[in-house]
Amino acid sequence: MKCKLCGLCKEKCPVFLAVLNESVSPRGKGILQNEEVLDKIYLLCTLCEGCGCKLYGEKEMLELREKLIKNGIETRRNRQMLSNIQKHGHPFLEQ
Amino acid sequence: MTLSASLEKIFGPINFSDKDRDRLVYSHDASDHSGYPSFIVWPTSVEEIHKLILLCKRSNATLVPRGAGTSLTGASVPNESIVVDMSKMRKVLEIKDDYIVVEAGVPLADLNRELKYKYFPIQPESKASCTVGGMIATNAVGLKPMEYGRMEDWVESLTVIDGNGMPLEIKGDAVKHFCGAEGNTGIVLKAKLKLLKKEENRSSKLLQFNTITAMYDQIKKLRYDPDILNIEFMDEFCSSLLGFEDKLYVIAEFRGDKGEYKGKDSEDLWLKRETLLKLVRGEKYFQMEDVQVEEGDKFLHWLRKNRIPSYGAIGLNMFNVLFKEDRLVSEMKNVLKLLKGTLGIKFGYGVLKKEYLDKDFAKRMHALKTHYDPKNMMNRGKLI
Repeated sequence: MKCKLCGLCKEKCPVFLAVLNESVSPRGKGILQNEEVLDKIYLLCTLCEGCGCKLYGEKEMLELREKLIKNGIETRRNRQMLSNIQKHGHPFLEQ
Repeated sequence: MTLSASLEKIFGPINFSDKDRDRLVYSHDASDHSGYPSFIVWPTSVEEIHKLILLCKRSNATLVPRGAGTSLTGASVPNESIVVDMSKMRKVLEIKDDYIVVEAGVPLADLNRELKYKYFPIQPESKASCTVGGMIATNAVGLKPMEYGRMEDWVESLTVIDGNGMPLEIKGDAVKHFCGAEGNTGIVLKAKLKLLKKEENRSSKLLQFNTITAMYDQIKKLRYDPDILNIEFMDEFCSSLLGFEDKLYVIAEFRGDKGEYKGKDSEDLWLKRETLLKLVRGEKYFQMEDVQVEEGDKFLHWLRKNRIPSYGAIGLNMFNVLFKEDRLVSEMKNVLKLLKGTLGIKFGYGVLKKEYLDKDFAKRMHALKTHYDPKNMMNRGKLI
């Protein structure tokens, strides 16, 4: 399924409302996805499904993130959290 | 200093971008037209925009003001220009009994939330995202154009910055130099908009028809009804998307209690109609055209023969027409020529519908462009 670019999702997206850069909005991610661009920006989604967009349900977004990791696209913090879980059993080292 | 370094100096690293990712995203609006920006900036003050325009003048750069980017005509798509995204100028500045003052980047949804006992009557189908600045630039039409007209009828005054870099206070008839100019004459900074008191005493009728001829016979009568406010139409496809029977439907809204849907029920019926755009975009119709044609019945017969769905303000013979294939769009344009109809009347002209621009309006826009933006920096190539 491809984003149809209507833009009706923007103002319902808490990430867009915090950043106000269209690239983080569901449509922004849709445009990148239509062009098969893999980018860390897909991590900027709260999985709230407030956009009501079938492209970015929790399942679709998790699949997309898995694809990012497989292509070696990860943030430093994600790697840190993973290492913390593996070594200490907690992402933030809390007891 | 390079243009990019100068822009970064004005806007700071957060509100300036030359990243490929952002350039790709800002190369689109809601239409299928696209073009890359050179840079993107997010102004937060009038001073920044003033400096930007002076910089563009010095370096022969062009710019494209952008609201929510919900245009269906490519009006906010750049062509190696600087995109000026107004999203960060979104303050509601003043609310009084009969007016509201807002910055241009205020989304209509935010404006609506601010109003408790008042009402802003222009409510386009893109109201979930569209901004006041974009509505002014395209002279937006709401869901009820028969009753409320267009955006220009509800703008009391504007603060704009023109292509000479001058902030101007615009009042009276001169607001029409900016309403519908699609960003050609300047960037809207602030708008004072007229408000209406919420009117409770209205009702609606939902009428069902099997044939276009029977529907138009009824519409002709409705147009002469002294209490009629709005007449809206949905064909079988659109009706079924809203959960109605597979028939032609007309929603007629009246002053007083003539209709069977009264008060809140009438409001709910129109709210249901408002959801249509999103439902339609969820189907496989990639293109939507806005048509106005006096012989609406003949046009609807042609649409029906070719199985093309449509809906719209039939009281003014204004239709949204949905397409899956380009071939039928070209055929429709030929039919419109025969019926002396036009495109662009509702969504604006942008890049995709320039050929349908009324000649007198185009001449007037050329004169205004020369006056307000003599260096042709603003939204070059759009509308005119």
